[in-house]
Amino acid sequence: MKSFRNSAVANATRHFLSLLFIFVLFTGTISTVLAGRPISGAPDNKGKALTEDQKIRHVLNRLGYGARPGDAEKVKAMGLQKYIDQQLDPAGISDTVAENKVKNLEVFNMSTAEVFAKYPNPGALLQMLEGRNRNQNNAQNNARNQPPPPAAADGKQPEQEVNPNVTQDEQRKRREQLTAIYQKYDLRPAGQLVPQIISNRVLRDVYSEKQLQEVMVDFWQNHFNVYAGKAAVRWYIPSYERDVLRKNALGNFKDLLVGTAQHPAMLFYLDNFESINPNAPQEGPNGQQLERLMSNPQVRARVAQQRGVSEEVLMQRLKQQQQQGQKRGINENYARELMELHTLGVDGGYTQKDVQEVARCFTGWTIADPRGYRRAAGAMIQGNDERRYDQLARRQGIPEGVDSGEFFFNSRWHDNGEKTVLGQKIKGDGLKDGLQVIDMLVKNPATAKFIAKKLAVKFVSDNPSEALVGRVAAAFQKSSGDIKTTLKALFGDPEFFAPENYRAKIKTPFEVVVSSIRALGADTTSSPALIALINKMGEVPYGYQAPTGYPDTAEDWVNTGALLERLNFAVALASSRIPGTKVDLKKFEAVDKQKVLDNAIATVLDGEISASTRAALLKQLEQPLPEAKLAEMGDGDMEVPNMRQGNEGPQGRQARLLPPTGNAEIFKVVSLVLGSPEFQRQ
Amino acid sequence: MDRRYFLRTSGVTLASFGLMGMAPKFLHQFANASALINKGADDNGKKKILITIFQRGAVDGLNMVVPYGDSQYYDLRRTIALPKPSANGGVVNLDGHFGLHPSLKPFEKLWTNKQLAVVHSAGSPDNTHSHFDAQDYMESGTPGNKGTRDGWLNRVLQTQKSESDSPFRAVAMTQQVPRSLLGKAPTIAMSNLSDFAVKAGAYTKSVQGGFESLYEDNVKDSLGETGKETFEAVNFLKQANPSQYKPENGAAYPNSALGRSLQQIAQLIKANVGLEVAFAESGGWDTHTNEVALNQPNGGQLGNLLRDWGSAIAALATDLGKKMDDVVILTMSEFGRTARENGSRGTDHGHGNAMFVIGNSVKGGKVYGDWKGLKDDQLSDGRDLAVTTDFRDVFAEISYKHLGNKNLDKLFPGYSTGASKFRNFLG
Repeated sequence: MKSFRNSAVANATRHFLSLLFIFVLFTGTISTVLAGRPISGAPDNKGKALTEDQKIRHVLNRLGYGARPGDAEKVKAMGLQKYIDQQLDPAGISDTVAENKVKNLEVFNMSTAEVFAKYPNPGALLQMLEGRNRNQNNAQNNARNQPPPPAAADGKQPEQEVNPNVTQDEQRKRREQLTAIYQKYDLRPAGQLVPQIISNRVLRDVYSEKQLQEVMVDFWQNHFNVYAGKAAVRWYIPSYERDVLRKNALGNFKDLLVGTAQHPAMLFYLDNFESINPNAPQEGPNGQQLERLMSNPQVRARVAQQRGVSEEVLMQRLKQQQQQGQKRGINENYARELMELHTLGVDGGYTQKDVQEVARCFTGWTIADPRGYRRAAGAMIQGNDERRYDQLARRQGIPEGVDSGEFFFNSRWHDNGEKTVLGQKIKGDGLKDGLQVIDMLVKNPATAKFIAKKLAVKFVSDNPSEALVGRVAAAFQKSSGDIKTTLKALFGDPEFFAPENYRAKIKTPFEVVVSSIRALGADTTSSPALIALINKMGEVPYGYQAPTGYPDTAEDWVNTGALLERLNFAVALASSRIPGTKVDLKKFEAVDKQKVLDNAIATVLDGEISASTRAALLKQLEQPLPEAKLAEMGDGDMEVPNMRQGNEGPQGRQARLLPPTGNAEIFKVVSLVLGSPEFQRQ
Repeated sequence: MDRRYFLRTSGVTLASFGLMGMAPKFLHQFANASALINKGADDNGKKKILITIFQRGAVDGLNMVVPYGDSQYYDLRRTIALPKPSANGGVVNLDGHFGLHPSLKPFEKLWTNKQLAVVHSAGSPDNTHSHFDAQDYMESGTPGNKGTRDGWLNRVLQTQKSESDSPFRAVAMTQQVPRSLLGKAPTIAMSNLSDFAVKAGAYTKSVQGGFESLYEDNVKDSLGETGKETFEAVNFLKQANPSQYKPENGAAYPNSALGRSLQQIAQLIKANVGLEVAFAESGGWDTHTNEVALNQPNGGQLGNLLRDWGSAIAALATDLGKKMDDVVILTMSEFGRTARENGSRGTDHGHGNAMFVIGNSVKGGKVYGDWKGLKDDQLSDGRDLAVTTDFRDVFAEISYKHLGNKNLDKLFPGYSTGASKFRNFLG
């Protein structure tokens, strides 16, 4: 009767989400994406081979998120090749500053089951609360316990809804009960998950010495994209990023593929956890058994009373549930994206028939307690919970030792018949069917080419030559998907340092944010306001709904609205308007304005600036600034992003920018340099 | 690409706002010329505009456009059925069989004027009951396929090259670009027109001037081009101060998120900024409980939402007046709700639903689509309103006939639509 439980949860959630003041939600105000227009090459370095300093700058921009003050000098002292080799082997790099910065983001120190328990899915608590109150108070609560269909249990109930059937008195009581539960068990609101997830990325990208590793985490996260706004996915992301993406960022591609295929984040996001052989035996009582059971008036009355509904409604529910239950079957989503986006590429030579056959191979790859309800409501609150979980586990064939939110192979759901994938026979052999598919895909030359092209676009240029892609693909193939070897070939290729590729990539919005903070040597705690700004710029990590991940070429990112957000970010950062992010403008101070400009250009752009930009900036210096009190800035309101796409209209928590501080002459110059066309490039 | 597009139209625009006196000098010199150019454009076929409004959470189509002529309706919904037109608080009669929820009274005039059509029993061939998946499928325009990179509205823009290069071709009055508009064609998402500005408080003018000069001299690539366009757009919108806007024809927008969104869309349309596709949304339609208040048909969650929603849309149509010749408003929601009420005086996730199409070119005053009925064997799975019109056929008809975009195979990959499937709610 699992879905009965879930339904009750969803029902309860609807009633009380409005009371859950604890939600920290995210929203942004303007975001913009995607434009199409050809982008011309880099400025002012036609045909000349890169100088050593330029090579260093290039490596710091491409293998990392840009230089901090002093980075270029350090690399120069160490030797560029040595630096690249070190970046390719991050295990040997000490990273205490970054590790200290992220150590309080506790979800990254927990297993998924622990995250479910500490940051409970609100539905689980409300379910528990409903159950308790129902028992105490059955007669009065009649109308409220109607379970909606299971789909409503995916965490997208309206949060503003107030059920008029719940009196104010009851609402207050619920609120008190919830507060007491959070206090008693030291729980945290689920709304804190996404801020921690994003902050972990921002802080590592800003502070980590393992810059290439973090760039690759970002690359693989978009390659194997999951969306935090879908139902339970957010609870899975800490483990997904830590145990799969970062762990294998420079490891072997096959480990990434197996890791993502078996990770609940991916299983949930692309629905494979619900992909079931349509001929699999039913679990639990089947329709006839249930009907027989419910034909007993005593049983019917008891169950109806337990659920707090009339017998008529109960029977109607059961009928609906049966219909829902019958609609299980194969889900092809993962199988399709596995080939189209993760390995072969859309032109990689597979057919729709292959998609169907691959989907059969992955049936039964699923998740124990996929929404974490059991873990969340937990044995701590209801004594019989363990027993109930055991029943559920037995019925679903969950092996012993598998915890909530963990992958397991359900052999009863698996289609163990013979399949043909890409012309090759796969004899039904349980879990091995899917593993065999992955093995085939890793070895397929189309995969090597697809990954090589994507890496070349990421690290070299939006239009890498076929020859370069071929050389990188060969390295991938020869090393059986060793990512380090593949990248070594890429960074060692003459095309990598070719002058036409210098500063030829337009930074993505996220790269602009991180590289700006680094360039100024600013200090950040990654506050909600910073996250709100990133969201406004349109590239918040795990915020892309489609499985393709964020795009990586200039034509996707250069457009009017997006450019405006980049400029506004530059101003907000330089004038210290972002709470939690401090910029020390002292290093730019000088006796005359021109020297201030020189300092800014040296710090942010390593002294490289086009003649026209320089002339325009110099002219700006001569313009007097208006007399103004810095506190007179009434434009700081933003909404913190809400990565929920469900039923809500606009709403969300507000974040506010601070009044600007610092010398206005200086922050104007620094804003302009950060917002200059030169700094949009890498 | 026409680099001067924006400047040209902005002159006219400012004039239409009565703001010419406030316009920066550089716009004045274009005003006269642009008026002439614009007149020519008017004669050669005006830009058509589509406004889509998404009801997130799955509106109950059966209580929005009520089949009061079906006796099963009253059997299935003992406590939340809306009374017949004759009764107190009854539905607004449409055609003797269907009626509008009483909160949609503002739509009555649009119906009588034949500007409003309903497509009933419309929806997705995919039977998912998940909000997330169903919204994804509707917005990508590819039910059953999650891998689609872009939204259907973005494909409309991609496949129809615009003569202009207005940054305002597609505007979503939302905080983030909606799935419908994701893709290669540029889109602006903003919850408020006033957000489209350089923000440096007292220093805005100075800082913006600095950025303008930086990008002015970088015209040799797209970054510079984009920069120049950006400031043209910003400067224009600054003049079109939303707080000064006066709706016309006595239109009264509700003071709500949707009301504000639609008013600003009207403003952009009247400002003639090159808008082709606009997107707005509202939420809270997931009426599992207290959908209709006891003894008060226009009360309860649905009635309250529809009152705001209907008056906002009616105000938009009224405000646009004659401009509705070139505008179609289309409403949609991810799926309908169960034909039967549940035990909480609400409804659960269903399937077929009703969509509104509004505009002067609409053959209104009619409910389109095949109506199967509400008997058990007529319902989908014995519980939901059946889908007899694929939502893509509705999208396709509007793309084809209204926007003149005939690339239907590109708009709806893997699906064959065309004139034979159109319901012909457009002439």
